[in-house]
Amino acid sequence: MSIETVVFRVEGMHCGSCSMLIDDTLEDLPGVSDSQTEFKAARSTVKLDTNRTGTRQLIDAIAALGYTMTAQRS
Amino acid sequence: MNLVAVLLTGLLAGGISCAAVQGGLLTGLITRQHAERQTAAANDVTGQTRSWKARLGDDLAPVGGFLAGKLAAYTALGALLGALGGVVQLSLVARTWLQIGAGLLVICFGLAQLGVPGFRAIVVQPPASWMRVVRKRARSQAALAPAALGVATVLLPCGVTLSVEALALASGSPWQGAAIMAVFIVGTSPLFAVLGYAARKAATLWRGRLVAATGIAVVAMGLFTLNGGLELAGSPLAASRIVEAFAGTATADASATTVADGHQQVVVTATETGYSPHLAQIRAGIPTTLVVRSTGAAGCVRGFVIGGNQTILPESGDTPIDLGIPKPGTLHYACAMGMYTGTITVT
Repeated sequence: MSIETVVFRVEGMHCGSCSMLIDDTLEDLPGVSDSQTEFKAARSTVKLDTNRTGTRQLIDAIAALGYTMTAQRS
Repeated sequence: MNLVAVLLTGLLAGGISCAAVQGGLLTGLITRQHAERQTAAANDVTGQTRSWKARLGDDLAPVGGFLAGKLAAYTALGALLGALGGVVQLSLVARTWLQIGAGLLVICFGLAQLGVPGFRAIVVQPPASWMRVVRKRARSQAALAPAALGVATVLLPCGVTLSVEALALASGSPWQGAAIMAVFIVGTSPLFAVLGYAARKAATLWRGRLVAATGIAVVAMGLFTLNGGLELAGSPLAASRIVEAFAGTATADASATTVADGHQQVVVTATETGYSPHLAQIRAGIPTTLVVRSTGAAGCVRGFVIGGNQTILPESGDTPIDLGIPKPGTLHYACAMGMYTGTITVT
C-alpha cells in the first residue's frame, strides 16, 4: 500500500457545490481515502493509494464532470 | 414583488448552475444507495426480484424527497429573511440604502462569476463546518438521506440564490420572503431534474457555457435590485429617469386631474401591476390632493412612496395624500421596492 497526498489545481468551479461534487466523486474512486477541495483556492488535496488508482484516473473522473484538474505536487 | 420574474430566474439560471451541481451530489447518493441495496439483494436467500414499480419508486422517491427537503428549507429561510428585513427596515432611507447595497453586491457576484478582472477574487465559500454537514448527508445510507441533503443545500450559497435571498430580505415580509424563495426553488426543479438527476455528466458538460449565462442572469438581477433602490432614492441614474432624459417627456395625461372650488385633485390608480396614468399633469399654485385609488393593489405597489414619505395603501379604496401648493417641476413616485414608478408634472 502506497498512500500519497497529491495536490491538484482545479479550474471551472463556480460555487461551493462544485467543490463538494468533486470531493464526492473522488472519494467514490477506489484507493481515495480523503479529498478536500477548496473553491476559493481552486485546489484539491487528495489522499490516495497509488497502487489502486493513479492521478490520471482522478483527472479523468473530474474532467468528466466538466472541470480541469492538474497535479501540482505530491 | 413580481414572482413571475423570480420563477423565470429559477427556471433559466438556478437550474443550470448550483442546483445542477447539487443534482450531481444527489445522483452520487442514489447510486451508492442502489449499490447497497443490490448487495443486500444478492445476499437475500429468497431470491425475490423487485418489480418495475418498486424500482421506479426507488428512483423517484429520493428525487422527490430531495426537492421537498430543499423547498421546505428555502421557504423557511425566505420567511426568516423577510422577517429580518421587516425588522431592519427602520425607515425608508435605510431600506433604500439596503436595496442599493444589495444590488451592488449581487452585481459584484455576477461579475465574479463571469470572470471579469478585478472581481474574480470575490467568491462565496460556505464555512468548512457547513460543508461537512452537507457531505455527511450526501454519503448517508439512511432512507431520509435525500430529503436531509435537500435541506442541507440551504447551507451552500451561490450567486443566484444569494441574489434571490437579497430580494426576500428586501421584501420586508415573512410571507413575501417565503413566497419568493419557494417560487424560486420550484422554478429550479424542472431543469434540476433533467440536468441534475439525469446524469452527472449531463449537468456538467453543459455547465461551461451555462456559467456565463448564469453570471449574466445574476448581473441582471443585481441591476434590477439596484435600480429599485435608485428609483426610491430619486436618483437621476434610475432607469425611469434615464429613459425620460433620452426619450423626452411623454404627453402627460391631464384627464386624471380636476379643479373645483380652488382645490385641485389628481387621481392615480394603483393595481397589482402598477400605477396609472404613468404620467399625470397638474397645475402649479393650487392646493392639491393626490388620491391614490387602489383597485386590487397587491405586493410592493401598496407601499406608495412620494417626496421621501411612504404611505401604505389598502387593497381597495382611496388614499388622499396632501401635496400642498405644488411649484412647477416634476414629482416622482414609486412603489416600496422601486419596481413601479410614475411621474406627475407640474406646469
